[in-house]
Amino acid sequence: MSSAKRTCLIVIFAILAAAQLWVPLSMITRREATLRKGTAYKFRTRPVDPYDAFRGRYVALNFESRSGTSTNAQQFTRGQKVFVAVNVGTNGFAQLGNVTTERPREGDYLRTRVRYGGGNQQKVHVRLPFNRFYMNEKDAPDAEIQYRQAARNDKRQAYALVRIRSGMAVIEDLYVDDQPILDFLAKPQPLEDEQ
Amino acid sequence: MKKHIRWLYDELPVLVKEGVLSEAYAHALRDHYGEVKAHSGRMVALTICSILGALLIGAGIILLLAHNWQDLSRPIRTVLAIAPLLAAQAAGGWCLVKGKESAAWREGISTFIMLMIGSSIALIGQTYHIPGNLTQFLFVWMVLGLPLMYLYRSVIPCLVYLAGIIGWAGSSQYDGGHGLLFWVLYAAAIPHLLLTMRKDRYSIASGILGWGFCIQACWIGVALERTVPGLWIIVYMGLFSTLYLAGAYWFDDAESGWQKPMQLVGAAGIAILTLMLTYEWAWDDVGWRCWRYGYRYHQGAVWADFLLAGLTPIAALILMVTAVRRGQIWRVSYGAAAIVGVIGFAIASTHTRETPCIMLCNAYAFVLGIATIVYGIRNGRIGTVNGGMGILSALIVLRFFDEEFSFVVRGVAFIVLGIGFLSTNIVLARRFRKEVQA
Repeated sequence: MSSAKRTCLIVIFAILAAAQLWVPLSMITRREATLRKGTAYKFRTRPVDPYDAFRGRYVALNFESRSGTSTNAQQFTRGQKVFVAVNVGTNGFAQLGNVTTERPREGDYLRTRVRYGGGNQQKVHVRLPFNRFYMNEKDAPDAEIQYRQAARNDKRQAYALVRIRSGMAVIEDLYVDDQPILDFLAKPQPLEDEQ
Repeated sequence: MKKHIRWLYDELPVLVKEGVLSEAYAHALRDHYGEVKAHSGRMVALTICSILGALLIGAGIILLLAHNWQDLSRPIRTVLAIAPLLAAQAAGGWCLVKGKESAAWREGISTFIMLMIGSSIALIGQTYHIPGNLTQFLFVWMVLGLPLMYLYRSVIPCLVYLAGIIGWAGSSQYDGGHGLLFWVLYAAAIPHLLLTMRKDRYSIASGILGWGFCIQACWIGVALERTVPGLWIIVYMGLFSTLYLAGAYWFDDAESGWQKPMQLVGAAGIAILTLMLTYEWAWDDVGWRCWRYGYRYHQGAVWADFLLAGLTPIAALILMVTAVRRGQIWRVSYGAAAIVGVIGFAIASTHTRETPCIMLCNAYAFVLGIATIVYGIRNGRIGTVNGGMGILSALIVLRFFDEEFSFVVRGVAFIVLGIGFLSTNIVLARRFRKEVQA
């Protein structure tokens, strides 16, 4: 191979390597900024049980608040990009507000997509841009059992603490009885009968 | 061709020694045919070991990090997720700077980088609990990995890419999107195949890439919009016919079946698809009157289906005319699959009963089997004869399972078919041996 061709290949490789690094680095910087500067909201959760071999174990989260409101819910189509206002309800947990196609000028909001429109109701169901909490394969099954019990038990509160900033949302931690999930699991818990 | 030149080069010293050929003529022959690069077993073994090593190390790193070391702080985990990609890139840069040209280096390093791109994105996703969006993940991974096959002239990243983009198309459609971008991603890899084949179309790399592209062609239905039910019949029949005829046109002088992926995938595809089309379910609700709509179907993306349904039969027709002009009339039997697909679709679109389409495909499968057997016998190819008998036997066996024949009748029919297979092979083997001896 001639030296000119090799130099050309090395330059192309350097550009490619920079692009390959830029993607994970940009993912990191945007989420770090959200975690550091974003507003914290508590989203009440419920888990289910999937398995993702490529990323290891995780707890799949199912949130109570999954639909926003709109005076014209029928105008939204499945998969449409929307902005959903987020605010705190009277119970202290996050609730979704107005759904718009324009970025809200004030307040916190999520940038997401429509799952389906509300028909005759004024509700618009959206995909929440956070639905997994990754843990190691040893802790995830225990976490799941504890969360399932917590979700059924009105006395226990199970929620995800989510930081929101400029439309981006990042889960900071999962809580059961106001304790981070790892701390909660570290203490011996009496297992209730699943049936 | 290479095999014959290699044989000639082995013979030259003997011919010179025995005085049949002068040293000058032997030199002239070597100059004329040029150097024949032998695929030494050692080099192939090294390349395979290098690829396996990259795959195992890459998979091991992914599994180690997938454990989710939640006791470590977030910054340390992000560094751990990016470090393997950086290491792979450093090795890749060193390989280019040092001019490591062997296939073992190129394949191993580029495969490792390809895997590490995916793992770093996935593991950042794990650290920040990013929701599982397979469509977006595969798209970013494949786009970032695409240039590797060109930079390192490598095969394995190309195969990963081909699998990844078909996975992306499927995932995109499952999510309610469309797979239109698949064709752009697919087109982006084709120059790599052409460049590799232009260098040596019968090399190991060309063979593997050829098989990769042909096998992927069997999955393109995933990327179709399927708004018009049954259009896939025209597309697939046209595609397999085109593959078969194009392979027969450009790769007819290949030494082994391994070097004929287009012919083999095309012929197998035609046979299997024709047998599938002898069932009623394949023709249920086919045609324009059954147009599909709803959020899962995108009217804007359907033009790719129309384009393919138009282009593939036309390409097959052009190649069929070329085959006839070259005196290879028997190839029309396989090329005709494209026409059968179009006629079948037209009948199914205008009739409510599936019977004419089923009869057409039964008749075509029968003709295909007979034509293959006749060609095999005339050209002394036992493999081809067996292929033809396989098509006929499959047709008979399938019809036997359709109809309510008794076990005794089915048993006798199976034994007769088995005896037919064995006796044909014995007779042909003896005949060919006699011809060789004569």
